[in-house]
Amino acid sequence: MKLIRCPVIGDCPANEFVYGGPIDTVDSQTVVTTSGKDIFHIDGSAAVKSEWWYHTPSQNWFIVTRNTANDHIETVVAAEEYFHG
Amino acid sequence: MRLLKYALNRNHAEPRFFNTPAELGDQYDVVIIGAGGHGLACAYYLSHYHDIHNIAVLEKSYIGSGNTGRNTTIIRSNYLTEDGVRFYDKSIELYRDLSNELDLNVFYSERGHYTLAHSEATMRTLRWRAEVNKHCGVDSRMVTPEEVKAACPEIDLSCGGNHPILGALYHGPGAVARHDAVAWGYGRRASERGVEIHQRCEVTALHTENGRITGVSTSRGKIATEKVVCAVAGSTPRMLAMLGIDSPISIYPLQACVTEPTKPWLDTIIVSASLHVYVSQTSRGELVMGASLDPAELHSSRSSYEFVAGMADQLLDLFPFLGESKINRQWAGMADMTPDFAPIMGKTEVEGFYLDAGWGTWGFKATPVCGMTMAHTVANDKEHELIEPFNLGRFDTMQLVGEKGAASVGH
Repeated sequence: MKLIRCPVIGDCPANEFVYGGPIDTVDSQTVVTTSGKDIFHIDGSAAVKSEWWYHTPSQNWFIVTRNTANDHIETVVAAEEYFHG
Repeated sequence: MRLLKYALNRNHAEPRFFNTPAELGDQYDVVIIGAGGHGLACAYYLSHYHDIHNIAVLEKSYIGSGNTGRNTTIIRSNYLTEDGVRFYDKSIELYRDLSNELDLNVFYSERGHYTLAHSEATMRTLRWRAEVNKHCGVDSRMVTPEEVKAACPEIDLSCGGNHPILGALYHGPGAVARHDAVAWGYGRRASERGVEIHQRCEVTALHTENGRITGVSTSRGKIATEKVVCAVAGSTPRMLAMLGIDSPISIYPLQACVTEPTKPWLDTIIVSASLHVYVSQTSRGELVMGASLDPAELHSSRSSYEFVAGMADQLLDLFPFLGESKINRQWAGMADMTPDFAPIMGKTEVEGFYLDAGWGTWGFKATPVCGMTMAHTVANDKEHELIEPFNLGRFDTMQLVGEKGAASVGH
């Protein structure tokens, strides 16, 4: 069973977490175009990406930095801390 | 007759399947990247129906090593949109005659396909699919739980009391086929007409000049060509990045597994969208099973314990007697998912670069029709009418082909 190290309570089974997709790299409030290109096209490459992950038992959102080439998790930071320091 | 010939002859050597020269040539009329079912089928239709023979199929690994050899081999056409139904129905028509066409038994076996509903919402989608299918002349209809039980007596209709089966979408043409045979059969017949299949040959760069394809760099040298077909499933984002083409494709692993062989007891295909499981029995007696995609984007074909545990949990609700069965093997493929669960096929903004991608979890069933339509598109530099709705440009103009409701399991 793969474990994800939660900064609050330590190692937790990966299936306690729900994937929430990558964080927006562009502020969605500033995008004014209505082209489908901006809505659908994404960065589908294999790279280290920052993503939303939700820990169901403790009901906390985290920002996880993960390499999508090999599933290696580099950092797990509470969302609050990630955005507001 | 062929067998009789071998019975009377002491010389039993079967000819090699492929006669590919050891060295890569300098120039080809068409270069196909990816020697999976789709790429080899395209080579076959180009060489047999469009009189183009100077073709190289490049494969970074071995034939059928990608999703062609990793899927659960289910073939069906019970889709949700008319575009989808027409396209996949053509594929079934081609599959039915494929063993003759390729002179190789692909073990195509029509056995009916039941998509189970455990909720009213699913029943509504299934009724919708049945009506669209009937409208297009495809044999799909709603059946009662009793009819499911009659076709598959081992099923527990109450699913352990957790989510009773309310009905099912029955699809008569639902079938399975031997995936390796499909790829190898197309490869052999293409090879007969001079197509070169180069395995262990990885594409490292694509070259363009004034928006046109001019060549391909590989791990074994550079090739000049004006036409490139890209049929690489999970590697599509890497190829598109070489040309700077944007796409909505993201890669998710799709896992599957087989049990140890059992006596024949399941002669149909059972799918449950809500339980996220699909199962059929091979001619060897193994149960081939799959579930939904892995939860997060990942460019890797690693397997996970979470998949088997989760899938077995759901499967035992349907077939409690399998509790003693053992899993023999598990594996994964890299599914190139699109937002609308329909493929991306045809021409691109780079002239001479043809894309056959976005095949996510639904590519094997389309192998023959993809080969046929892509060959037509490449030979005439004009998209075949069956694949016009699947153009990459549809995302810019919001003309999506919504097939999510027809995916085998809810994703």
